[in-house]
Amino acid sequence: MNVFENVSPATLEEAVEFLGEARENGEVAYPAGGGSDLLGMVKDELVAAPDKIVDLKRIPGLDEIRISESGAEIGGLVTVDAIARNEGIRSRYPVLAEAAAAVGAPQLRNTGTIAGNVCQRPWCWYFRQGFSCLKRGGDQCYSVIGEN
Amino acid sequence: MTGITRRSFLGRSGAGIAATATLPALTAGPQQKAAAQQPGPAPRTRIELTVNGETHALEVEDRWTLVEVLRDHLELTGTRVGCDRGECGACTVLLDGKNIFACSYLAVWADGKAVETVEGLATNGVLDPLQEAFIEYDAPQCGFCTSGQLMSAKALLNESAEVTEQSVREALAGNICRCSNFLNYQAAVARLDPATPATDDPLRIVGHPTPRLDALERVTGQARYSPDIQLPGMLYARILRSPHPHALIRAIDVEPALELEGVVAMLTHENCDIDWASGDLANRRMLFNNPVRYYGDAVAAVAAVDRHTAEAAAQLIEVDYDTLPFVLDAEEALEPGAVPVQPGGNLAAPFGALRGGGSPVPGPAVYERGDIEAGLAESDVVVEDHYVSKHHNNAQMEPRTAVAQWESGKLTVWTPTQGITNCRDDIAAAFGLPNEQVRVICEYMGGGFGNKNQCQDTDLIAAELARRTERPVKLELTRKEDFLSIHGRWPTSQYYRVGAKRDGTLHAIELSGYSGMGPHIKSSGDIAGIDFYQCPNVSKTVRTVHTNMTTSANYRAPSYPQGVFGIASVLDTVCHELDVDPLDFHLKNATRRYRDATPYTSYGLIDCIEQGAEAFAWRDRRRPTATDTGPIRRGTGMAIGAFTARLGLSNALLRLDDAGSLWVHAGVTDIGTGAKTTLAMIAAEAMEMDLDRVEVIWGDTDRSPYSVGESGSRTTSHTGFAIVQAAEDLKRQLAERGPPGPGEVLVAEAAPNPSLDGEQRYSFAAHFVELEVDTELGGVHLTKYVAAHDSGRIINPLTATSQVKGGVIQGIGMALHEELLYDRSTGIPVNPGYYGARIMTHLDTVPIDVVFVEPEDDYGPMGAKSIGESTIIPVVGAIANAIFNATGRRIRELPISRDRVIGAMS
Repeated sequence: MNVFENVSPATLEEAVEFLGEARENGEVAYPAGGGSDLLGMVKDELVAAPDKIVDLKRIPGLDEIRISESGAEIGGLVTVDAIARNEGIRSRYPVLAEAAAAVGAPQLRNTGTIAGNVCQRPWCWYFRQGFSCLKRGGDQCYSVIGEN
Repeated sequence: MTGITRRSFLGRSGAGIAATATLPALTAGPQQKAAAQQPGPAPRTRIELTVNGETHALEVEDRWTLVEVLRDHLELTGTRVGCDRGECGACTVLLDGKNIFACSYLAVWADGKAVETVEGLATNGVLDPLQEAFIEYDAPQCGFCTSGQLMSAKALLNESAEVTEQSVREALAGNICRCSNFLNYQAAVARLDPATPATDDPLRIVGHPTPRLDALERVTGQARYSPDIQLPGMLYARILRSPHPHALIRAIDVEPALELEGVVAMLTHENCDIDWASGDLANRRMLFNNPVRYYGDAVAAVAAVDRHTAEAAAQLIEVDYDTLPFVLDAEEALEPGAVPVQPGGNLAAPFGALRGGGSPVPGPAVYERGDIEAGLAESDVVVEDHYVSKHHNNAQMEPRTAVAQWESGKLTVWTPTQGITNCRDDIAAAFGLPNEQVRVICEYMGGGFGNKNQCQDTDLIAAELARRTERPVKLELTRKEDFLSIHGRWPTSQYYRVGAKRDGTLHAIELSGYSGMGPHIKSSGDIAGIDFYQCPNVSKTVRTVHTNMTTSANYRAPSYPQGVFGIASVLDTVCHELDVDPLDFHLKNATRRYRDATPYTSYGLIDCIEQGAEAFAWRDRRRPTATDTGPIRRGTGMAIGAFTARLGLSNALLRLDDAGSLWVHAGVTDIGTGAKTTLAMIAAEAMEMDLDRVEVIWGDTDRSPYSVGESGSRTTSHTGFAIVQAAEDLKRQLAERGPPGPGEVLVAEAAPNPSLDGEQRYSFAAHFVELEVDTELGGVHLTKYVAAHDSGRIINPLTATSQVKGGVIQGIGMALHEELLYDRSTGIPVNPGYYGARIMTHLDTVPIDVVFVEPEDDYGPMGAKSIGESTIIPVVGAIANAIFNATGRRIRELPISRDRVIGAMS
């Protein structure tokens, strides 16, 4: 991986500040939840080389699930595994729990967060192989006529 | 007659379309290319890491992953790196009690946390019960995935001692075992009854289930693989690879890379002309070729003070390519006007002719007996059909890694190789050294299945960089590089015409085939399988063809599973058209003599078919084609196999010391088959000693004698026989002189080179499978599998059973979903890696019943024949036939993936 700095903000405000600062300085900065997918993309150079990785894991309070009459609130840092195991989710939203249990491998579910999962970049072969495709700023989608 | 044309896929081919500048580079993505500058100093952070109960205060680079810190800085090398992308699980550790991929987690993120690794499992010298179970159930084969499997199992048991087979499969789902010993891992964790066949062998040691002698090293993380070698002052190397499938290199500018601080040396085709012998006499293969002929061809190698600097330096190399048209498909490559991949044309000479020396003459390999046209004309039914198989990667867990060091003119290379002697000889030849000035060491090896035969370019590149820099050099390939630049099974196109009599007697087989070998011919390119049958009229023509795909070569029974897919499918169609039960067809038509002429040294094929069918309950389970009509349809299928059990030169040296220990020097590496244990058992049996008195010295050319190499399923037959011969000598000495006195050693050596006179020596197999096809979603779910094998006497039923299960599971992957898939418009593979190529996992397994029939054979050690490769041969054919039985649809292209099943059903 290229050279980058890891910062570990203690609050959400601090995290936003880090990200904003980086943008102002023309730096590339990525927030990291579980970070597995991000590191893979950095290693494969599928995203611009980061100057800074803003690790969100030290921010308290973002890893909670609250179930109420009106629904469920799932913090962005709740791991996929925690969703799969949460009793409230399992009883009220069994399909969500089942889906979470089917994501990736246990090792990924233990680190991967719901926010990171939702924000994943495409798992299209062409994207993941670094083709200069539509999703990476190119002008064509290879999978339309290619292997899909 | 069945329709022949399945060539519509050719229409999508992109031969002749030149690659453009927007293609992905292997080490420098387009976005980074512009930004590639001399990087500044790497930020560091002080962290506190508790590893296996011990707290370490460390200063780490922010970009270091947890596995990097564990392996490179804390020297805890039991945690392995298989993919570095969170796909294989070899790096699994526990972080605060939960299993995670240590390759996909920054060390700084683990600050203040507790890490547990395989090294922490045993306490005060007492193994964890899981480690004991792994040994007892023969869970580790090559052992490279074992640490990760242990840690995931530990995480499961930490949570609950109550486990089920399903909960174990799910808990281990992120841990791939490419030896495919999934079932034994599952059984060890769930404590299922061991499924080793009962044995009534009258011998004392041979024939009885015996845990591997080196299982302890494999379950504790102590086993030292090539990537674990760290030497003082060692440099790291990285390779820059071609982003084009075919291109002329106009210029390479290495200066920006050399200016990077920490870069020490650089190799390109301009300053390095070392041959990497491919076995192809017509065309030289160099370490760095110009033109480059496949996406991933090596363009440059750089050595630097650390891994990250080497990586960064590779990105700074500027290459000016003149892209050329390319061709991926073997048949297209032979069409008039096709782009020449090699100067001599795309049709290669038959491989045998090349190996025999002389001037290679391009042309097909042809075999004929009888009169094919007359035979077809005399047949009551003729089936004409076309089958296509794909490039299928070995995907062994350990990526190629070589460490090279020169000391006083002597070169030592630590490398994962399946043949230390061949590897040493190849390296010595490349550097113009006498053999004794090269030492090759391979103590433990993380699987290969054929793609680590002889020497690899990694060995030579590391050695050359070490020579130029006068420092040790470690070259590690990434998983992607390993997929792209090392041999997988060659893709084939097979045209058949097969005729049979109304009573089900096979009468004529014609095969016209094409094998796409990539730019270099490294193996036979044969399409095998028709020799499994008696047939008076046979004609086989196979063309080995140069293409711009990656080089294909050996993968477990190199020419068989793809050929059996074709011929077994065609014969199943014959059975269907004649309304003959495939079991009866096989009993009638299975080979009795090799090519209907030469007797076999021993023959258990009919026993395999009969006993396998009985264990499977074929007569009860078999139903007419497409019996079910609902969305889920059940079917059964069978196929047979045969694989040579070669004899030939090998060498063993035995030393009996005054303490009564027997030292067996054998030039083998244990690639996961259990060879070391097998050889020790043979030695103990032959010497009438206890097994615990036997020590095997292996895997080091300076300490062990010649061995042919662990390929061709021949280690037991070759080296085992040499041990038996040496033991005869040693016993004679003992009888004459008595046991060695104080300070004395008795030594015996044997180098037998047995051969056959008018006979052929083969192992045989018959496989039976039942499965369910989901006709709506395309999934194929195996429900029962029986593998019956004649491998002569089974030396160690425990490890032999593991071999069978592993071969079957690899075959299931090849049949249903594994493939290195090329984008036809760009010539670039789109899925190199475990996830993309859909390599088998714990969730894809099926229980496998193993049946051994053990006819007596007069050759080999105590009548043992061969086993490793025969295990994968019938699998694809049996599964394809079961899918036809279930659905009535014949799928003629591998893999039989969901989309193909759905396509066939619509």
